[in-house]
Amino acid sequence: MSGYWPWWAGALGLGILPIAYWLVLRRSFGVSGLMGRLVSVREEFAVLRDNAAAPKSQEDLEALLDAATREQFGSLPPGDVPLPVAVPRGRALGARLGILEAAAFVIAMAGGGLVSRLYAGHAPGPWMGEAFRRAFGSGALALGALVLGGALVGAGTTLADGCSTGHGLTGSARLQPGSLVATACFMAAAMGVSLLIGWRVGL
Amino acid sequence: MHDTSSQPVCPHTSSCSLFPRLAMRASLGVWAALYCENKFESCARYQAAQERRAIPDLLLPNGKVLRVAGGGK
Repeated sequence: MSGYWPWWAGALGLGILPIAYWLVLRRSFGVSGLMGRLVSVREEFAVLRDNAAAPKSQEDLEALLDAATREQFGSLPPGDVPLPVAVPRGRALGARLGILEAAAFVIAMAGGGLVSRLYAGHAPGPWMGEAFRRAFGSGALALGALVLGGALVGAGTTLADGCSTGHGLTGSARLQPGSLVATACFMAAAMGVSLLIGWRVGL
Repeated sequence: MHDTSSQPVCPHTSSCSLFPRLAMRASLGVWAALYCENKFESCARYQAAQERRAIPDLLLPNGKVLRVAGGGK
């Protein structure tokens, strides 16, 4: 589609995002993980309430930890109990994004898609492309295919613990063996199904 | 602190928000000795992480959440 931004702009954006995410947040970037957070909204808000009720000062935190330790173990150990591994120095892995930040990201992602679509001269609205329309039409079959596809993506990314961003961009860039295998598998499956559908509709 | 044990250590220590706080006082290491080594599967934080559940910052390994009096629920 000639009205879209050049391919390399998208590639740059997709490449920069996981790197910037790691540099800023010290966490691996994955869209499916962020979207998955929205499924358990009640639990996420319960955690927000718990964190809001956490002690604000170091002294209060230490006092609460001491009290909890006495409650759990009867008394505070008389001497030093070494930690099994060193506390990470420098910038350790950051806390994962909160539910509100995850929601903001997902909304912004949809917004980016809309901006890109408008920039390309298309009217706002669902548009899956000519090949999809030829394969599934625009009625109940199309809707069913999208629902089934979405469910498969959700189940697959949960089983594989990542998606095309988590494994494909972030994990593969870090040469994680599991991510390389996962990316090879889902890319092969995607190409196979794409060719199958293309063959079915004569593309 | 150095690795003082050959026991398996919880794989989440580098990302656990509670673990660094156990280094605030020497006596708090007793939590890590019990829950971060060897039998870390019994840690409530580990279990929540394995189930991809959200984890409160101050969820203790025994399942209790530290809160100031009158804070939260």
